[in-house]
Amino acid sequence: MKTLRVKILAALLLTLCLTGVCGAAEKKILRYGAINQKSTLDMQVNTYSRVMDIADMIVEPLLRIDEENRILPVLVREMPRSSEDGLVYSFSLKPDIKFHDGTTLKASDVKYSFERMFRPSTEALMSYICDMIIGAQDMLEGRAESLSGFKIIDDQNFEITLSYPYAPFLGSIATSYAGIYPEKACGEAGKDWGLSVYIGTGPFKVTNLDIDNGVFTERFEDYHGENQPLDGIDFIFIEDPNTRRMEYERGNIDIMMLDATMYPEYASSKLASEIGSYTPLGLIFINPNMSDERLGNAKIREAISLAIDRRTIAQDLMKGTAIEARTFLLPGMLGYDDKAPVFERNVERAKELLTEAGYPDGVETESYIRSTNMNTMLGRILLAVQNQVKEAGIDIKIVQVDSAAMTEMRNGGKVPLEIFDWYADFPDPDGFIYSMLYSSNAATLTSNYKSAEFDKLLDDARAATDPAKRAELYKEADRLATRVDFAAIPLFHEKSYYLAKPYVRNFKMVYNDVYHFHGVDLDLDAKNR
Amino acid sequence: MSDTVRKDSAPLSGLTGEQEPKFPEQVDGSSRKSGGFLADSAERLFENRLVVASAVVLLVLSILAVFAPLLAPYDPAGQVLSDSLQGPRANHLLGTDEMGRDILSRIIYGTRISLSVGIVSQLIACVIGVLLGSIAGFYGGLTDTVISRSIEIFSAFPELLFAIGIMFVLGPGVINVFIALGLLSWTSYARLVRGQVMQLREMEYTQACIVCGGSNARIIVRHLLPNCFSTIIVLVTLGIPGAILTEASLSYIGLGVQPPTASWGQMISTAQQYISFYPFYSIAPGVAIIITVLAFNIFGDGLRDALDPRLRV
Repeated sequence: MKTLRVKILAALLLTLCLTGVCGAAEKKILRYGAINQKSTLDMQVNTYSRVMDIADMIVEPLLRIDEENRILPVLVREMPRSSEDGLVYSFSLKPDIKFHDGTTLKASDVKYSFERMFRPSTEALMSYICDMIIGAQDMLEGRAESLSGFKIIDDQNFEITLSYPYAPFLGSIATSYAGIYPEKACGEAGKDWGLSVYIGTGPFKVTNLDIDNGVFTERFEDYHGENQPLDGIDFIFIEDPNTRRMEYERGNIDIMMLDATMYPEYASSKLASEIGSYTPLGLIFINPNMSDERLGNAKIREAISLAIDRRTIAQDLMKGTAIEARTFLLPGMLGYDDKAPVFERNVERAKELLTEAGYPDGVETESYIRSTNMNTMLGRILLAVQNQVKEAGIDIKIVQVDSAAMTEMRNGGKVPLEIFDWYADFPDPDGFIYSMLYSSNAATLTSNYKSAEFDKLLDDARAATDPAKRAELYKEADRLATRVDFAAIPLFHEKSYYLAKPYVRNFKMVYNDVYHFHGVDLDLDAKNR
Repeated sequence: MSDTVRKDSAPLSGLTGEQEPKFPEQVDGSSRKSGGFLADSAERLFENRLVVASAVVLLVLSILAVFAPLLAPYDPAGQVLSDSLQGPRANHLLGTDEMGRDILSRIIYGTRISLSVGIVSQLIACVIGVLLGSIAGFYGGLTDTVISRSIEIFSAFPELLFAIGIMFVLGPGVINVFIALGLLSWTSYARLVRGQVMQLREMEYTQACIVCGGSNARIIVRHLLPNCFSTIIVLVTLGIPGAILTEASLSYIGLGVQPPTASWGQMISTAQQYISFYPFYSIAPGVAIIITVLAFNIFGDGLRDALDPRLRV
């Protein structure tokens, strides 16, 4: 009898162990259904929000902007002090910050990261964010090897001197583009940086960077900041949005973007309570290529703008998940013109403009789109626009291309017309309109907009410190780009959606449409219930 | 001379000729009247009810394709955004898609793409395949080795992957789909025609023609290829459904026909995301593909049986 009892007890104990009661605790791994942009993670050479989702958890800039749009110190002890004239910023690094490879962060790593951004061989796309640092222009033009405006005082302290007082400087260096890389590891990795090696000071370190299948991370135990509740984040690439949704419904991923096309269906399904929404600082617009033979003519660009019925698209296609855009700048942003009229549709005027431009029988152009975007809201909007402008005699041929080809064509300025969604790099007009339309940036984002007048307005706005003066300059630049030159054809400000399982805790979206997982936790009890 | 040879050539494959009618009668005791090879084949073809049904389906599809603008109730690209994703009802028999377009009209117009892709691509493949196959089979030697190795190289690639590769190089669009699918399927024509020409070349009537000084081109075109005709017809008919499916796959991944042109593959691709909410939207173009492919397959099988002399006994 005693033996039997012992046996029963042993069996019970075994069962308990197997069910995990006395076994190792289940790891808290967040599985994010990510989109593969077929791009390096190196944020100096790409601009994708979906890459930032991953990169921002691994590499950190000196400062960061939280979900309340506040700038917070990350790698520095406190917010940097600036000199009275706004030209010199003094930084003091937190002591003993470790990179994932065990090396310690020093001022020289910060200098290296900035210099790398300005070195022509890097081909950085967003060096505009801090090219007002003295010496940056010399480096960008290949005249200097080091950044003269960056002074290392000791391993912890350094100063950055600007060539003019740039009001949003701290915001601009709080973006993903200004992430700090370890000098030694990054230099050694060379072209592999971001493709197979990516090391930073962030809360999660890469365990497997598989450019085809995903990026798999685990908590960095020596992280300098607050301990993260998650044991790791799996960024699982699922290219097809439908497969992604099915994986979510099957419980194989915990969180994912939900395209607005599917919002009405999901909002009336059993998953309605798992939908989260946010309004990113972003704009959907048409980006015409000014170097194109036909689209180079402002009258044709204006005709396209006039032939679009934004209201119908917003109401009937987007089912109220978007509002019509009146300007390039975003509502609430410095320089936003709240008195700007809506863009009214006028097909007759569009036809007249085509005739004036020398195309009385209509004009043909091509719009390239990522094939994976064709079934998203961007693709739907493009189809609606294609249908509407046809009435005015504008024939837009849609060509679907794969992600890698699109990136190459866009960076080379070779896409004739593209429907674009653009989000603020930091909550300042400079991080939104300058980054897209200033001539040097427009060249790598396909619009090839080159207007001395527009560039001058933005240069002046950068150098101005008085907010009212800056607002005026940005307002004027916006009007010039969207109502005179039609360098960008604003369409909508869209609301965005995501699906998150109820056991995902503390998740909040930030302003620029990037998914950040600082402080996110998983309630395993709720998950396994 | 040529007429004599042709007459001679007929009994070789047992296809036509004056002796032939008696033969089947003797064997199966049927009272089939001979009306020559074609009439005989047609009679055999239409004996099978399934084949007749598939022929009717193909006829209907062809009428739909040719008269699409008259038959489709709506413009296939005409959007009524406020009317999107509606189920089947009186004014839209198959409902509307995500852009408020009539699904029935898009399926009718999709017939044009599917049939034209199927037929044109197979004609391209047929021209390339028959040309190279007959040259390889007739001349033999080094020519045959080079062509045969090319056939092997081309058929070594996985079909869809090869099509995707070609489309990447050529870029998307319906003309390029024709070319890609043509380049994809010529090998099966070449291989069969080569074999058959090799066999026919050794026949006495061919030898006689050579002795009498007939030029090579004339022998191939006038005396060898007519005897491969039934094989080619069957291959074309059976190749079409494959091409339709490949076009649907290419359009599904965005490499085929570009929007707003309606293509069944593209419709399925778009409908897929709504499958749990509006299943009918996915089912409709899917059924269209199934019916078309099945009809071509059944008809092709029937045609092969009817034209194959070995199955006559």
